[in-house]
Amino acid sequence: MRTGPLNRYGSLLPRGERGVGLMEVVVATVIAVIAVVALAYSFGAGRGLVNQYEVARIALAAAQRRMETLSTLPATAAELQIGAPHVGDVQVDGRTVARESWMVEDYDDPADGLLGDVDLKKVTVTVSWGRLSPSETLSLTRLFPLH
Amino acid sequence: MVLATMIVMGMISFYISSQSTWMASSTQALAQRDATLLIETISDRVRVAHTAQVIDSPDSLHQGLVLFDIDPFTQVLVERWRFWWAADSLVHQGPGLNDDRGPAVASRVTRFQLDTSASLVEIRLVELRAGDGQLVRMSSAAALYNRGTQTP
Repeated sequence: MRTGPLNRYGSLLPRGERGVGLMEVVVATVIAVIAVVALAYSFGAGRGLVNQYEVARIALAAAQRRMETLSTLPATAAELQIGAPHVGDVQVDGRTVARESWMVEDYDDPADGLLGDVDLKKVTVTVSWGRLSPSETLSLTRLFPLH
Repeated sequence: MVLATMIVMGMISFYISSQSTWMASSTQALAQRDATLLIETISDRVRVAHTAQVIDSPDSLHQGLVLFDIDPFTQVLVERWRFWWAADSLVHQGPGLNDDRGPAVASRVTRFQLDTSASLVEIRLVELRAGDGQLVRMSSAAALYNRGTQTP
């Protein structure tokens, strides 16, 4: 009696039809390729995020540096005058990695109960990098004495 | 057989490549975090200090920072804390050279350059080497807020 693999109708397959079908190979290959491409993309995206946050960390340190530097200046210094924004480059080891700007504005302290008077200066330091998009921009704000 | 071998070789090379990318990203992220931590650690110490002095440790590419405060009883400057680049390529910290509290961060520091004025310490460059050899550079500054009105 002959034995061997059966087809879907229960009868024996001829010897030449044993094995994996072409369609099964194609489907398995497509699935494997999609999985591998997705995995490779996720690794690349992860690496890209690490690089992006490197610049973000540099930008935060640069904003802190600017704020600390401004805090050591007298209130009459040109860098602390209210008006047009001050702009400059952020350089690390001689290489420009971002753009910085800071704006000095009047600030009315609500704690004194007087409306409309100027009590303090509000300094906002903004650092942008890459395509200067909102996700590639950070700001720090601090209040400075008026005099 | 040849096709199967090629597929297996491709999978092995993809695995090795992806592991390499993964490790490079991880070590890079660690070095970045260490750079931020080092700058924050120095800044926290500087902000409560009265005076700072930059020293070569041992040269201008590898420096150190000595932070002073005024002793409330004697009214003279006394050393409170210091950071210095040591021979193990790590930035150590402690109340003095003879009281080393260990490295501030675990990453190797290839350059540690500082500058100081009467009221500001500028961390000109902190350069850390990640595990895969890439360099992470950062700079910042911190003000000496504990100057008060007294000067020795």
